[in-house]
Amino acid sequence: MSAGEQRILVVDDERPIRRALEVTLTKAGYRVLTATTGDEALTAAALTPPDLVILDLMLPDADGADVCRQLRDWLAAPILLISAVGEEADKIRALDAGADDYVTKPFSPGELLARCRALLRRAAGQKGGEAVIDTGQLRIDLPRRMVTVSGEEVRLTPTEFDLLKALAVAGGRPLTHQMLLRTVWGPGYADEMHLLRVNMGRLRDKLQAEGVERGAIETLTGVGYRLRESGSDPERVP
Amino acid sequence: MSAEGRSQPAAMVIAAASVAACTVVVALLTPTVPVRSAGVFYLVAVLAISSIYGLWLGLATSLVSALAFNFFFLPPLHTFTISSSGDWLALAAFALAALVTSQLAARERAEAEQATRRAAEAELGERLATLIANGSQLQTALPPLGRQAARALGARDGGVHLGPPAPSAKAGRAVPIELEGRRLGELRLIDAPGGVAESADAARIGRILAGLIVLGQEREQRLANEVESEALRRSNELTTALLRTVSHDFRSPLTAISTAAEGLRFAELDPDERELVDTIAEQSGRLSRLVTNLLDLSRLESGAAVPAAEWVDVRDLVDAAVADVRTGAEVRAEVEHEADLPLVRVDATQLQRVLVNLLENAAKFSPAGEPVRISAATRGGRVTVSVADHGPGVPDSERAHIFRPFYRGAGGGEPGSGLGLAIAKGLATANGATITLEPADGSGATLTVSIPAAPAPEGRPR
Repeated sequence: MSAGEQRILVVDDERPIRRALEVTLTKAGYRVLTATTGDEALTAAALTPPDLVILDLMLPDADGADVCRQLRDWLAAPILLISAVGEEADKIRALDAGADDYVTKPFSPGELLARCRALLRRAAGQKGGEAVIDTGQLRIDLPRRMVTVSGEEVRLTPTEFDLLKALAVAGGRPLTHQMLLRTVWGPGYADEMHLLRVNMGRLRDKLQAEGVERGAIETLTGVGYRLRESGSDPERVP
Repeated sequence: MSAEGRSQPAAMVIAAASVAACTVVVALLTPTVPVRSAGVFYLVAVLAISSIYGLWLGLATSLVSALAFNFFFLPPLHTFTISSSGDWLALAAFALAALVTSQLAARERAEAEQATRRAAEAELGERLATLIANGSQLQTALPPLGRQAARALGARDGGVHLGPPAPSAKAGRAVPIELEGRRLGELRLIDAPGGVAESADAARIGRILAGLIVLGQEREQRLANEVESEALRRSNELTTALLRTVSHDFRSPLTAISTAAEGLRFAELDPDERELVDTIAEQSGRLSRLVTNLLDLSRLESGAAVPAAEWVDVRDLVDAAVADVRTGAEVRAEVEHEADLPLVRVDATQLQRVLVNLLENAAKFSPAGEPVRISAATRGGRVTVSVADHGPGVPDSERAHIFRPFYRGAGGGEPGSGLGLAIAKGLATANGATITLEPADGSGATLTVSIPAAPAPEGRPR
C-alpha cells in the first residue's frame, strides 16, 4: 500500500500547528483531513474513516481520553497523541482509553513521521497470534518461553519473561506502569510499582549482559515502558 | 513616709496637751472613782499618741503620763517619789502599751503606704502601657510617657531620652532606664525633690519604663516586618502569576514556529536558506527550553510542584535524561551505573528534570567533543548521581552562587538563563534530595544529586 492512499486525520485546535502538520504530512505523501474539535473529529472520522488519527491531547471542547475512547469504540485505526511536557497523567488516561502512542511538543517532523510510519505498518501487519517475535536484537519464542540474543539464550525468571513478552506483544506501543502490572502480576497488583522497577532492572541487566543496550526497553518517565523496534529511529524519542 | 519625722514640735505639743487633758479628766474623776482605777485613763493618751506618732513619742507620753499620775494623784502628792511597787507596775504597763501600739500602728502604716505606692505604680504602668499600646509610633508615645513617670516621682516635668546619657546631664536629675543590665536611655527629671532620682521608687519606675519601651520597640519591629513580608508576598505572587501566564502563552506560538521551521527542513533549499531555517528551528527550540524552565520555576515558587513520589530505579532516570538531552542538543554522555542500586521514592518526572538540567549545564561548559560523565552509585544509605564535565570548573568566588536563580557563571559557554541549576536544586529539595558541587579537583565541575534510599517495601514479592 503506498502512502498516497493513506489518510491521516489531524485534530488540533491551533491553526498554525494544524497547518504545519498538514503541510509536513502532505509533503510526505499522505492525504490529510483536519478537525479542530473533538466533535468535528468524530464526525470527520465517521464520514471518511482514516488510517491514522493524530490527536492533540488538550482540546478546548473535549477531554483527549474521551475522544480516544469514542473513536476506539468503532475505529481500528491507530491514534497518535500530541502532548506537552507535564501532561503525564492525561497521557496515561489516553493510553488506557486506547491511544497507541504519543509525541511530546515540540517534536520534529522526522520524529512524527517515524511514529506515523511505525503505527501504520503495525496496523497493516496486524500482528497477533505470532509464536515468535523478532525485534531485530531479540528473538522471543512465546510457546517455548525462550529469549535469544544473536542465537544465545538469555535465562530469565518467569516474571522477567512475562514482562518482556508483554512489551513485545504490544509491538512498540507504550505500556503504562499499571498496564504492565496488571498484565504480568494480575489485577490486584496495579499499585505495586516496586515489583515492576526491580524486575525491569533485572531484565535489563540480563539483556545488557548479552550486549543489548538498556535503552532497548525505553523508559517513558512518569508513563511506562516501550520496547524499541529495530526499525524505529533511536535518536528521536520523546 | 512616717508622721514622726514630719512635724516633731507640733507632735510634742499635742502629746503634752493630751497628757494634760488626761490629767484634768483623772482629776475630775477622782472624787467618785478610786484614784488607781482612774489612772488607767492615761492609756488613752498613750495609745493615741503611739498609734499616730510612733514609738518614741509614745514612750515619752507613757513616761510623762506616769510621772503626771504620780505627781498629781499618788501619795506622797506633788512629788515624783514612787512609793509602792504597784505604781511601778502602772508605769511599766503604760510603757508596754506604748511599745505594742506604736509597733502595730507603724506596721499598718507601712503596709498602707506600700499599698498606696503599688497602686500608684500600677496606675502609672497602666497609663504608660496605654500610651504605648495606642500610639502607633513609639516616638509619639515617649513624651507623655516621660512626663507621667516624672510626675509620679514628684518632679514638675521630665522626659525620656533614649540612647547613651547626655554628657551635660547633672547627676541626681536622671533615672537610668535599664532592662536586665541593658541600658536603653534615661528619664530626665525637672524640678525633682532631692535624692529622688536615686530612690528605690525611681529605680522601679526606670524598670517599668524599660519594659514598656522594649515592648514598644518589638511591636514596631514586628509591624515593620509584617508590612515588608506582605509586600514581598504580593510581589512574589505577581511574579509567579506573570511567569505562568507568559510561559503558557509563549508555548503555543513556539510550538507552531518549531513545527513550521522543522517542516521547512524537508524543503529543497540552498545552503544559505537552509542556514536561516536551521536558525529558526534551533532558536525556537532554545526559547522552548527557557519557557519550560520559567514554568518550572513558577511552579516551584508557587508551591504547585508537589512531588508525586513513586518507586523509581535511578538508572531508568539517568537513561531517560540522557535520551531527553540528546534530542535537544549535541551532547555526548558517558553513562556508568553501579550494580544493585536500591530503589528510591521520588517523583520520577521531577527527578528526571533535575538530571536533564544538570546534563545541559555540564554540556554548556564542556569543551566541544568532550563527553559529559554521568554515574549512579550508592553512598552510605543514599543513591547518588554525579554529573561531571571537563570544563573550566567553578571558581571559588562563584561556588556559593551557582544555585541562585538567574545567576550566570563568568566562565564561557553559551549564555543560558541561569535557571537550570536553581530549578534542579528546587526540584531536588522538594523530593528530599540534595545537590552539591563537589570540591574542585582541577578537572571540570562535578555536581552530585544525593537521594535517600527508601527501605524495601513490605510487598508481595514475586
